[in-house]
Amino acid sequence: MPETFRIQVNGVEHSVTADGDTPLLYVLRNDLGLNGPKFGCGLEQCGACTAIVGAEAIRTCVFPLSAVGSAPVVTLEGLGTVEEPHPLQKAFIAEQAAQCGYCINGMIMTAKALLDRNPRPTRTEIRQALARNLCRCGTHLRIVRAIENAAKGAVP
Amino acid sequence: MRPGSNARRTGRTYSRRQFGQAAAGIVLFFSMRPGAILGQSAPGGLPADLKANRRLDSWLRINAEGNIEVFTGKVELGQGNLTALAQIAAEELDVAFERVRMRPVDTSHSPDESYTAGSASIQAGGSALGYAAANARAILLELAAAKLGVPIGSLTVDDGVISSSGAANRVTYWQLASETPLARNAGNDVPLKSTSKYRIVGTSVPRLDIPAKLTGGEAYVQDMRVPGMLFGRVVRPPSYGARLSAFDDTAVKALPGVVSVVRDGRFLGVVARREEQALAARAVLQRAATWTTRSELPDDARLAHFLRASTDARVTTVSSRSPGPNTPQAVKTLTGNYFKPYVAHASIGPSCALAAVSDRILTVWSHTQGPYQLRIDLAKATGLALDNIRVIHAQGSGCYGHNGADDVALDAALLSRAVDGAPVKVQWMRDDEFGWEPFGSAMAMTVQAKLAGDGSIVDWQYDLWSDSFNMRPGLPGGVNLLAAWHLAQPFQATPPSEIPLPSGGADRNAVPYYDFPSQRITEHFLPTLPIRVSALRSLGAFGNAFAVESFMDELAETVGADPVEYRLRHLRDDRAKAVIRAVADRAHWQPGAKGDGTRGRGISFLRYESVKTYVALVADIVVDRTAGVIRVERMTAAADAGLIVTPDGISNQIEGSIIQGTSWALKEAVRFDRERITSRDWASYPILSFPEVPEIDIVLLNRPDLPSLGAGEAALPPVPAAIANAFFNATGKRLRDLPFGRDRVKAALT
Amino acid sequence: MRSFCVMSTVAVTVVLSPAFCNAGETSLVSQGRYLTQLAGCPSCHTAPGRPSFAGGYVMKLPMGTLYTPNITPDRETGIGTWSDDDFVRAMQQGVGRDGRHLYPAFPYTSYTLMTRSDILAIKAYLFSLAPVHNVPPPDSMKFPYNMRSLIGGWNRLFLSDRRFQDDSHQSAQWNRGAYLVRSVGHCGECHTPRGRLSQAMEQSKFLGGGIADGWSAYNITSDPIAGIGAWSSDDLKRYLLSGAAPGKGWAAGPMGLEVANSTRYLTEEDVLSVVTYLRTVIPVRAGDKVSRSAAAEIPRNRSPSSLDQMPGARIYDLYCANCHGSSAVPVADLYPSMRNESTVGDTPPRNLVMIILLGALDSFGSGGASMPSFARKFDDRQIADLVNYLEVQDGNPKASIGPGQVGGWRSQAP
Repeated sequence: MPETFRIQVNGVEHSVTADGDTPLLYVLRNDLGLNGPKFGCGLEQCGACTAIVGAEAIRTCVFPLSAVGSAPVVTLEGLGTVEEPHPLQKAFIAEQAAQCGYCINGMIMTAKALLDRNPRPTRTEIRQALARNLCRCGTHLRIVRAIENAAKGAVP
Repeated sequence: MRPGSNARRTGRTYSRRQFGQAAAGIVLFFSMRPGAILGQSAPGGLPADLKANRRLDSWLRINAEGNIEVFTGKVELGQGNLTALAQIAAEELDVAFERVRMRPVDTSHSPDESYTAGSASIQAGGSALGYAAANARAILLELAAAKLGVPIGSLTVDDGVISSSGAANRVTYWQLASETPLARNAGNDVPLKSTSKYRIVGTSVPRLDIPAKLTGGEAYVQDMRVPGMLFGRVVRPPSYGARLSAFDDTAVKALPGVVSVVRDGRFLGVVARREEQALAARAVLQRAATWTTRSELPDDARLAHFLRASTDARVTTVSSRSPGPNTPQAVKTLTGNYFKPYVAHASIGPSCALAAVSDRILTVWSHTQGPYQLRIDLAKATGLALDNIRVIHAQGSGCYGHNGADDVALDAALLSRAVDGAPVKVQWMRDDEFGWEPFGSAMAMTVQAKLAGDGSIVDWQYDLWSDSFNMRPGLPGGVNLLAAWHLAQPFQATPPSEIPLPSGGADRNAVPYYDFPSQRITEHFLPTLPIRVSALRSLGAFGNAFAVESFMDELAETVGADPVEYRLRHLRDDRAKAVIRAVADRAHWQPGAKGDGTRGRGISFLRYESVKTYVALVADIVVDRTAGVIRVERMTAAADAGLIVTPDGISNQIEGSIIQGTSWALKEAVRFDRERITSRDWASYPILSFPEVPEIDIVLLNRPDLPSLGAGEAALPPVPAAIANAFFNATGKRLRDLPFGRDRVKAALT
Repeated sequence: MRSFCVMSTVAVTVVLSPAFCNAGETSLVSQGRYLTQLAGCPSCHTAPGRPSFAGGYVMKLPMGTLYTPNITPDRETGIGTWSDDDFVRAMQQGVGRDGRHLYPAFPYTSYTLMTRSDILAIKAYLFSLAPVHNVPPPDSMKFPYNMRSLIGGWNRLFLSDRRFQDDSHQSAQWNRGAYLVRSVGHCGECHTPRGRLSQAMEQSKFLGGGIADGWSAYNITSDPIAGIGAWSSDDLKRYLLSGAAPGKGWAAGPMGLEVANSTRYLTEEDVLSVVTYLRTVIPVRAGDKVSRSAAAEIPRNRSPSSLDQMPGARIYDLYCANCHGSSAVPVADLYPSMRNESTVGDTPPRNLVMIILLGALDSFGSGGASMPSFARKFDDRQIADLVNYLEVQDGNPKASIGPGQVGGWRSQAP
């Protein structure tokens, strides 16, 4: 049964009418028109759909709308724009840390949650934090370098 | 030699690999034969793609606002192709890079440049666009000369502003744009810019597509939304040959949001208003169908045997050389059998397409590698005329070859047609992608070598059993789109065929680069295997390099030689020797050093396609004997790709190839039982994860006086032998079957 | 000795696969490593994400909370100063080096059956490890359970300090299996019901089913309906070695850990011994008419389309079908089908709720599939809807649970 939910996404309150069991991914993409979170597997395996709910990086493909409650949701769009990118986005651009780029939403959002709780992670901690985020193009080392640079504030 | 092919050799050409290697931080450069002449025209003919699409305004449009619109037949696959092409256009036109607007391929007006595959086609695309841009510049100068009343020779161009030395008058491209000067055919008498005058090509330019991809911009076909768009999902049979024995869609139709349930033969799909409704309906539709399956696949555990035992192989001798009179007597014969399983493209984003019909034109947005080729097969499958189909490229997730991109385009077309042409976006689910994509073919290899008393190889016999690596859409004799095979009136796939050397298909790099007095390379091409296959990165080179480079190591071990020295001993080409020495040097290779039971290192070498980049790798590994896990700690690579303009571009390609190659080598094999593909997700088809990625150290050998060869995918094939050789160095045991998963590792250690 | 090692135990000679041998390890240490795995020591003496054997694993019991001790050879915080006799006494009598009684959460009531030589092999292995300095948090047991002296009285009633005796009427294989199940493997500790007051194993219902960390530890007696009597030897073997016997049951929760840490290391010979013994365990009957894994065969009269209208159907289709399949065939061969799966067929479906709540992450190392946790994602009502749908579809069609029951089980989840 569709219900109306009020959720806060990227600092803006939205009213969404959908079934409570609708995976958050489709609400973000189709009701709110966001492109950041991507469908990759629908199985909580690859991380392409990651958004931050509360303080945690969440796989939105298996996270129902009804479970969001009052927790603020932040997607890739909530970090920065092309004109004013977030330091992580800036670091990824500086490092050109994307090939096809489809997984990068998950990389940046997972890194964001990591840096929020651990602002100076070691390289091993970064690799561990991304252990369940999959990249197929082989951009891993650039991604890790970009996150290291962002953490160090070493991005111009 | 015909003038046309001569032109491609002596004229300045845009090497495909050069574009391929410009993946992050795009850098372009051109292979320039020594002595290339300034202002040389294209003698005898235009690049093939330009010859086939001669009208200049099919490549370039200059608008009054000061922008250059570039139409290309090449598509962006996530390696920066479009950025590279934009650099070429800006360079030849003498405009700022920022003025160039790259337009995605649209079959209603873009030039037809066939597939964007490997990187061969980028070479062609760049070369055609470059000549078109040079032509356009010449025409604009001609117009300007007439307008300004000065000789052409006195004109210079700076960012689209044409002026004459000493004269105050000037005119811009944008002013001349209204005169539609480009509604003309390209000529072959226009000189290209000298490489010494390059300002843009050869510099690092950030990729055009990256900022949107990192900030949530609309970057992919998955992100497309059009008014009235519906969501489609398909239901595939549980196995290749499953028959639909019962079907009752009552429950599906009763679901909220369901607009249409489609059944045509054994093609099933559903269209719904909301995406999650389509997802739920797909599951109910799966229950609505009852299938009859049969045992149709080989025994996964005995796949190598199955390939070797195939009775309908087409056997060809790929290369043979007879021993000369001075060939030493053989004193010892050794044999090795190797195996490479089916490998998946495994794109992170499942394939997606958007289709709609308006004004009797079926328009499909697709991340296909060949929009025109897809259109050919869409026409056959739908019965529409070519002119009634329009394919527009929109980016998808990285594909590494022929994945499900084209198939889902037909799915979307069929579902859109079922809802009176309303726009329908279809994305495959993860299990659709794994279960139905065309895989990289499995391969079995047998090498037999004869050794002389001094340990040198005097004879090399190589047999290879494999399938096609080329079952793309648009080929004659069939339709290579999945749904077309499932319709009530089904189409057949095209007959499998082999790709000729030196590029080769299954036999790519089957001929070793070593200098043996006598050899015979035999391919057993298997055209009737039941598992769906097509092009995947490096084609057969991955399996062949694994066999050749592993066996070289085995032979070295047999005769008590150091693997580095043994390779050098059998090579004539100094550049090949140099990369091997360079990697040994960089990795501090100690001749004769043995591993300690858990740690070891191994070397391998390849000259990709026998005519392209040279790569040598040293793998440093640690074996967890209890868990049966190989961890690649470090990969050291040396490469000679000819002239290097920026090391970063090549390094990036090598890095990506090594990581993907390590993943294939350690983890990847498509699993199946006797009925169906059982790899359906990332747990049943694991790939390398962040903690498992090796550190990579690359040394590049610059050859400023030699043509650029590009690095593309050259570093992928040598990876598994480097790891297997390191494993032998560590443990004294050989791994001859890919991948090196825990069962194989444990079995080897038993 | 690098690629091959032989070890000897009292009962039989066991040839270990080389995977269990590390270069340079003595045969006593190798034997100890194997027994340590079978005894499940790492499962309880390792806190998640912490060094192995360093303790601190939380045990939530009805009587309070325990933190397992550090059993690395650290002299200050571990067992580095323990003598052989100290160690044997702890294993056989449940008494620590300081003379204090250990809580019976430590399964000495089973270990007591072990031979001294096996116990000392375990000690030799533990002492071959690097010491880890770690003091786990203090226990917080409720009154009167915080009075350790009471355990002495409990022991007098429920601990028989005796070693395992071979049954001369049975084969060596059976005796080896009985030894592994009853002593080292301590299977009965979870799988045997406990007296309500005594919390001691009810030996008359040995392996007749119990509760562990909020999960059902199923009846594994030879009863064909309530137990595993209808499982083939191959089913049992596969289950113990891989955690999955398709069409019968898949291990998760505490048993998932046991498979991951213990049973999958069983040698070919030992696993056959265990199976041989289990087949002879006196059946314990319950009221069930159909076995857990055969519940799908119970006739049901709902039409497929009415099933699709159930509120749980959509949850299943959106969140579960991607792996478990929307029909009888799971998506990949790594996932259980919902049909003929003990967890779905059990009544009440306690473990079905537990696996939905807690998930199972890579129990079997890399390459294994994982089940996401849904505890934070769905409320009790949604989980009840999902479970009821599954029961009507593939389990016991009469089993029905409400949100309250889900909430009760949720509160017992560790």
